[in-house]
Amino acid sequence: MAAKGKEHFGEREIRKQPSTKRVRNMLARYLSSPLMIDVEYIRRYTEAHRRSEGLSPLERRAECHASALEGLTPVIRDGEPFVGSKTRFVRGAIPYCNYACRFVLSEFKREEAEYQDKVIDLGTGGGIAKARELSAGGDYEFFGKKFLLAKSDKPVLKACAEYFQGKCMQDVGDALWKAEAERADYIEKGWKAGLYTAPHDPAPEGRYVLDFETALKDGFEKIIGRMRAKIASAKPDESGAAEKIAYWKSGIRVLEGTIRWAGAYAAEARRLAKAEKSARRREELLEIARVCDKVPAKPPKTFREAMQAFWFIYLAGHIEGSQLGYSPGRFDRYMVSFYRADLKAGRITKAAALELLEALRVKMTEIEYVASFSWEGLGSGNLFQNMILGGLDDKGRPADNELSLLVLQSAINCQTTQPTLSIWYDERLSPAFLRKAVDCVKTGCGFPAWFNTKVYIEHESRKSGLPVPMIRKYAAMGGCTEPTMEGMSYGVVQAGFINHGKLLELAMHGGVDPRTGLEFEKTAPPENYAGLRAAYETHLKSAISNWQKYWNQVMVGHRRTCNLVYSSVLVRDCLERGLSLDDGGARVNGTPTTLSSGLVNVTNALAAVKKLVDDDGKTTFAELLEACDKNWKGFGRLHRRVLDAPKWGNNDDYVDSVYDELYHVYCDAVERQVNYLGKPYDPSMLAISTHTPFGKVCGATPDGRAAGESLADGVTSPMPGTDVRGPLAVLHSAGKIDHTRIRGGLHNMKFHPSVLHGCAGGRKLLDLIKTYFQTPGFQIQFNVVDSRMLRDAQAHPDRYRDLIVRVAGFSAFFVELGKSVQDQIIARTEHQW
Amino acid sequence: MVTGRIFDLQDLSVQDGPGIRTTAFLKGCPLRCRWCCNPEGQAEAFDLQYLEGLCRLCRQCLEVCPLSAVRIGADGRPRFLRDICRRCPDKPCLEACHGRALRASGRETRVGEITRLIDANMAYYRNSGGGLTLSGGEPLRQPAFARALVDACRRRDLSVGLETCGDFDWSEVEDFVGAFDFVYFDLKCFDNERHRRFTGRSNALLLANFRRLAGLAALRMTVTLTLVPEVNDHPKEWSALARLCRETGVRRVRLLEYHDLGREKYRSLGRSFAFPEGLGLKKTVKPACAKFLRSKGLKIERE
Repeated sequence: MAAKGKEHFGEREIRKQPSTKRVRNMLARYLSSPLMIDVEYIRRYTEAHRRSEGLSPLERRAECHASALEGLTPVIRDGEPFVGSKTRFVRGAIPYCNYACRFVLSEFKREEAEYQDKVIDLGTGGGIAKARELSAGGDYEFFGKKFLLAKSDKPVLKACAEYFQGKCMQDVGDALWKAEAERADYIEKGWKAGLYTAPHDPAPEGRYVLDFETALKDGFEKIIGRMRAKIASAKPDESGAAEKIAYWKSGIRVLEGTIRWAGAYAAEARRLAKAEKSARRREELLEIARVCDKVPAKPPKTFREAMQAFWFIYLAGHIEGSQLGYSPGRFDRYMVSFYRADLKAGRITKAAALELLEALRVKMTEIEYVASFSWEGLGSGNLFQNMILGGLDDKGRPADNELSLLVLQSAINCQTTQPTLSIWYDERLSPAFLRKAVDCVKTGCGFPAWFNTKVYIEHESRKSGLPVPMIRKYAAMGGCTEPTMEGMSYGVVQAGFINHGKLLELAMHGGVDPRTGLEFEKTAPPENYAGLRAAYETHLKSAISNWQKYWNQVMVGHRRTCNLVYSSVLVRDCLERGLSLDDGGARVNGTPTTLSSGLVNVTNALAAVKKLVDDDGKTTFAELLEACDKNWKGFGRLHRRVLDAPKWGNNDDYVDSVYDELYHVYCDAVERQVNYLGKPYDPSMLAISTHTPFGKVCGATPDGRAAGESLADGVTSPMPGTDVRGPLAVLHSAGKIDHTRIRGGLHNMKFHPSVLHGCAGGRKLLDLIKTYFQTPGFQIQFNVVDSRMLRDAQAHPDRYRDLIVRVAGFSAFFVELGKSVQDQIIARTEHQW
Repeated sequence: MVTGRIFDLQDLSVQDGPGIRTTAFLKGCPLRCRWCCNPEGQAEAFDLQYLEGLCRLCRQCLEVCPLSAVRIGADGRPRFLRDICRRCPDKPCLEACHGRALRASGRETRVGEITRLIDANMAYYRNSGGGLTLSGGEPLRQPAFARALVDACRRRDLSVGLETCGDFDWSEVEDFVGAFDFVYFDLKCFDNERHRRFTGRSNALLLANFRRLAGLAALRMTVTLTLVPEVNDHPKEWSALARLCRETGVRRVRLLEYHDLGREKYRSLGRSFAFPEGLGLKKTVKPACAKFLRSKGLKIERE
């Protein structure tokens, strides 16, 4: 079948390519580039660190980052309409030894970086294949299984990593929590057992959005002026004045460094212009030079200038930290005035603006991320940059505009994984915008994802007490599915997830992990539903509270080593208050979440015990336990009964009510503890790809799952194969829970292209979203592919280099995903009629 | 409470008719079209489906069978004496099978089960202008059940559609058949000899029913023509269809193409696929047919 090729498959109804040759070339260049490690930033950062002993932590951080940034080699690639590159390579990653040096060193030792890495597999197609090819040449070595490192850079990186031993955030944080956290042993056991995802060595920053509005409106010079005025008027006798002055000084240092970094691009553009043969490109380069001299120091005037300014402002934040989930926010809101003014003045055409937006997609996709590969396997290399469109304005009116439409068109034309698009849905968004969004879904790229504005407004106003008009206007998405307030909130999420499947196993076995033999809390061996549930709740509460305490300590280490200075200046209220992000300077400090995945499996398991042991008396818990321990071998009859027990996703109150109860238990437990910024933790649930490694470390469970099998993904998506009553029943189940309690959450649905065919198909999709959001659901996203096509892509990755699928909260190139994740995507119930 | 036999209930059926719909597949059809892709819906009685890929060779079916209707073949797989199975009252094998490889196609249901589902889905129908569609099998072969479902929809002011092959007793449905919001009327072949050969029945009754129904609801009717090689893939058939449409005032035709994706289902039912293997429809046929019918003033749906 596979050999017959593509004509055999249901064709994707909409398939386009970038609208200009320039962007087509950029995309082609990206697709054929290997993944590279660039040591330039970290080398300069380390040099600065060596010579800056004695400065306060914040000033030292500012000095290191600013001096690294302003010395980066400016790289302008052929045809780029606006410039700025994170590294010297098309697809380059910075190994942030200042965050974590251990995985770098252990990578050199060719050691398995983490215990859990054994159970995580990485993709092998596309750019990764290209890297393998180049490493065979001899000048490069493999790093982190998919990156290339120049042989000559190896000693540089090694020296940096060695220097940061004991100084990096990971080491400082580790020393703290191992000494201070009440139950440090619990955390370490949790990692070994697979109760938590790997330790925090990638230490991802992110999950927030800068205040682009102010940065674009005022320009950096004005912001620097504000800080100078603050320093001038600070009263030295006031408490904390010295710290505040240090903060403003740090801010000035970093913004000035950023302006110089932009200036280096201006110089480079001029240099290139001299040598440029094409007159048109020479003009363009000179124009680029002019703009780079102007922004981000001064406010941009035209749309082109604003695009360059946005890119500098955005990218500089991407360079300062090891960012995941760092996002551009409500781009269509804060950029549209530039576009409108240009249109009115006849300075730009729609086509020219579209080209810039398409180029932006390529530029955002070029940014790579390197971490120990246990995290790589989870995040699949995606940076979770999320651009959210539509939504409401402060008065509650629909806020989509002509630029929103153009952004959607750019994603339809230029199929890259980043940024992922989302929609703040409201029924009153314009039909043209909604139709265009459906067209984008039809390309099969997996986005936009749809989010219910009402649900988030209720969540945020309850949590932070911000006025509703402000929430409407600034509601954004920081990362895959977690809402955040644009330019005013901060929160490094816990770089880890709690494995509900493992908690269930602990509950089943009296607190002992059957795989490793590690002992956690002792709980009474259950005999029935009540016993299992009580034990599960005990383990849940202690897993959450220990994890939160641990993370609060880690964040003390973050504050001492890697506090973000640049972002601290560009998030609202920090500057006014003279407080950095880690000191609670942001307007909203309740964003940090506690994440988990696998609740659906626990729900199904508990429901099966309730039905078979308590209600029907068909079996005993002891027998069920034995069957699980033997992975159902010899228990075929019982396994069948377990599979027939009520399952989540069928609109069956018997089991849906169990989910609802557990959901509140989870949320209550998460909110009980205060985060490192002094506000209660916020519950969240999603999976990224954790459901696969989490499933691998768990034995068979009473929901009928076999040992090692993946857990259910998402928050409300059913376990594959258990939703037998159709997709509306799944949505009915998902609609029953109170989505306003959590920050984030997602629901996957996969469609065969034919379901959405034509105008009528598109309208039906919108009606489906509208109705689900009336239930009210919070989030829904769609995969429009054909499972036969996916299997063929598995067998012939080279033919499907550009195939994008949505995995949990993000989209990825299918051929670059690990096989187990690929299998999961294929298995996700395909809705085809 | 009125009961009926169904073999499937599909939510979010978005391809047939307006809006988001639920399709009820009523069991039993007098025709035996050789290319039928829903063979499990043909017999009125319950059918045992055996899905080989799921079978774990556990032999539970053999152990629990009260009628000794299971044999184990040389390959270790069960064979079923299906005529006996059809009469089995309890069907314990269905629940005993470890791999869930055995399935009953067809079950008794009450109108209440379907109205409960409709009520749960109501918001989805209302927002999209959808509703319930009766399909099959031949839904009008269960007139009391069909009538009750139509009434239930009418009471809720909900759209109700019909997919029919036309082979039903007019006098049994006369009172409510005009009440459907839309009808997809499946026509196979105008050459009666060929119709008999490929479907097992004459086309006289269904053509007569077509005319009668068109008398009540021509504008709400769409002909479904599945283009099948040899059966109706030539202009003579198409012009007969165009003539019938002109005479009755039906204006729309939905064109589908024969496929053999249902082949596996025949296997699961212990039957062989009666249509010659490898017989494909030429790629040019559907566009040619569409062009022809359009030239006769007909509107083509979902080409």
